[in-house]
Amino acid sequence: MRATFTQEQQDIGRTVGALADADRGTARAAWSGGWRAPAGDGPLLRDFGLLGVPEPAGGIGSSLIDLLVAVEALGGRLVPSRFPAHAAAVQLLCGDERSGGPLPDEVLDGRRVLTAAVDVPGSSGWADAVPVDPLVRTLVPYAAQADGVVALGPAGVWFADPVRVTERQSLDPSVPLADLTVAAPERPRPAGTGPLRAALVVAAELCGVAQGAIDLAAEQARTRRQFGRVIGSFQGVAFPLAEAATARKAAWDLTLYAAWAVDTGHPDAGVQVHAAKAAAGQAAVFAAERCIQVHGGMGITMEADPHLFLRRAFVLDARCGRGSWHRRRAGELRIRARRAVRG
Amino acid sequence: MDFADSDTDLAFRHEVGGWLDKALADVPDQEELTQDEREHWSRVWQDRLCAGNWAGLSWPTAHGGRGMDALAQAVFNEEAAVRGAPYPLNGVGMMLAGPTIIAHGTDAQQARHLPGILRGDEYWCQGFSEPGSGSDLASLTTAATRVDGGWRINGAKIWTSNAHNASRCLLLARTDAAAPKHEGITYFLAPMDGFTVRSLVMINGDTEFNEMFLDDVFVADDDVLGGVGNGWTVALTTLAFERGSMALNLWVWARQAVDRLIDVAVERGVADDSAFVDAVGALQCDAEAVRIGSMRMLGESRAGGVPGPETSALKSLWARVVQNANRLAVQLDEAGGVLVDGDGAAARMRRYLRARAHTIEGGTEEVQKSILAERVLRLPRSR
Repeated sequence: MRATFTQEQQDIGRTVGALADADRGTARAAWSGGWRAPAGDGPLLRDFGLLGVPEPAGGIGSSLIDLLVAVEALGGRLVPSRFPAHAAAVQLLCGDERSGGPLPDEVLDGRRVLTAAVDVPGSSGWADAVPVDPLVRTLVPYAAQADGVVALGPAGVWFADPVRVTERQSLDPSVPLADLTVAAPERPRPAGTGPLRAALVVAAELCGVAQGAIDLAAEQARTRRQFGRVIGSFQGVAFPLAEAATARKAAWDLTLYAAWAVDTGHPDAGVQVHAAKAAAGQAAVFAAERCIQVHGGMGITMEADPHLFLRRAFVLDARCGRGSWHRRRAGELRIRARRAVRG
Repeated sequence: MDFADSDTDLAFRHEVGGWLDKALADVPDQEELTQDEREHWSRVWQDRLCAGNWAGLSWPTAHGGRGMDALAQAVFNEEAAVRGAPYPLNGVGMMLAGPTIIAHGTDAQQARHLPGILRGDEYWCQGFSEPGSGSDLASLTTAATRVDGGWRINGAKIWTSNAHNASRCLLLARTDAAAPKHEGITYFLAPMDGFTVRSLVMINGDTEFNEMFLDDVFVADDDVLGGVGNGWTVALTTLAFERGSMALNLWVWARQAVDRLIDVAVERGVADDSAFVDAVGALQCDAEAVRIGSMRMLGESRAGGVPGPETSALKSLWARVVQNANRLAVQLDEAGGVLVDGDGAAARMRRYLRARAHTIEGGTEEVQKSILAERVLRLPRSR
């Protein structure tokens, strides 16, 4: 049926959701002793590595939306698995079906964990059009915990050898971030839609984060009592949460449609992806802020969970092109398209 | 998840589009017309729909319709909106009265009312809202008193689009003042003889809708639809048809508002200003979210589900896009929109002022948020 999830996609969401539920709380664990692989990390990398991988790249006909459904479920529970970053790196390699051939088995079955290096220090956009010298990337997640790096540059994408890894202090310790200097590519392959595909993986995780923050906020609004009533019965509390739910739905719909547009080679895939990434970042940050607000005084303590959602939202909004940059790109492409129609 | 049109849908859109392109060839852009001119074209357009056998698109063939489903009507309206078609003058008859009478009417009522709608010689209006009953529709107080052979009705209705052209009214009145508020209401197919209709001037100068005063208006028993005291249930049917028929128009109107805004900016040479580009980026996100959300809603309906409360989110997003785009468009004017003696500036201000209604009509923004809070977030009732 048109524009509805397939049975398979619903199953993916449920399975990954159940796996993630078992890992609940691990985003907080990184605050004492740094990042550790959650229990679901291995199974996810091993069993779900073919999601969203086109057949020429070694996939089995799974659509990009299949992958995004899985990543969204992880985002909602703040699971600090390397799976989304690995999947984004894989997708970065999948943007040009004519080049490259199938990806190595050890990448697709999760024995070799990848991460993507796409953001450039001092720039809010990704590295596809920016002159890059030296070959420095920033905001690379799990750089020290991955086995390989896929880099994006103006010439294309390539398996990059890190020359230097500088661990940075991440706002969200469950997602370690590093600056990376990589060796110049010898034979990069065309990026094609790779950056778009990778950005959608991040957008999907943001949609999950937004949903998780909304769920937590709604739970608080349903149970916390003041003035003799649960606070969710006050419109001043309820309406901002309704706005958050609206923004999250908009972002998720945009993300799903953009994935379909990319997968089917739709001509407006670019503007759709930019809109999705921008909307997803904004929805997640807004939802996390409202989540803090609804929790009142507890919301501003480290021991309550709302700040964990805000931290993850900020990190993801910044990665794979800042949300503000994507918004401007969406505007530019929209105006350009309208000008073309008007002549 | 696949967003492509099915072959059946494509074929239907092709058929509709082909007819619309021909039928609209001599119709001017409605956005640039005066109220009187628009009403003229609405009448012309209604006649063409009837002549083209589109008036009963989603009605069963037994009632003279084309036998298609309610979604086909939404698709037709979408294709018409994309082409900037006028709003048909008897939209209430075709899309609300007809389907409601088919759902709840007796054979005699169907035989009496449906042909006139198909022929286009009886226009309808919707007498639901009252001065004292806006968002809380069920609190209506227009009173129907039993008399020999029917009911004597007294009260006032408001926001009635097209009452000045209509001869029949979908009228809600309270027939049992002692019953709980949802149970004492009856739905009438009232002839409008004896209604006093007074037009209301909107803040943009248009006169789209009216007040109606009913002083001892007689309505016969034959004109009770769906049984005495059952009016709330019948009214919900009408409201569902209202939402359904317009479901695919929202995204079109959102996109057109953004298109017009960009055209103004290009004309004024500010389309590359970063603040403007950022604003368009934000509008693009919301406008596309309405379009995609509508596709998903349609998909859910076809899969047998009922469109959920998430449709309230689409209505909110649509209202925001059009309001923000129209505000930006007047602000781009030389004098910030306040000198309205030029045709373009006046039309832009008219559209901006009209759009203020979008967060009020068809369920206020506050009602939409309450629906989301209660039914999506499962928060307790706040009203």
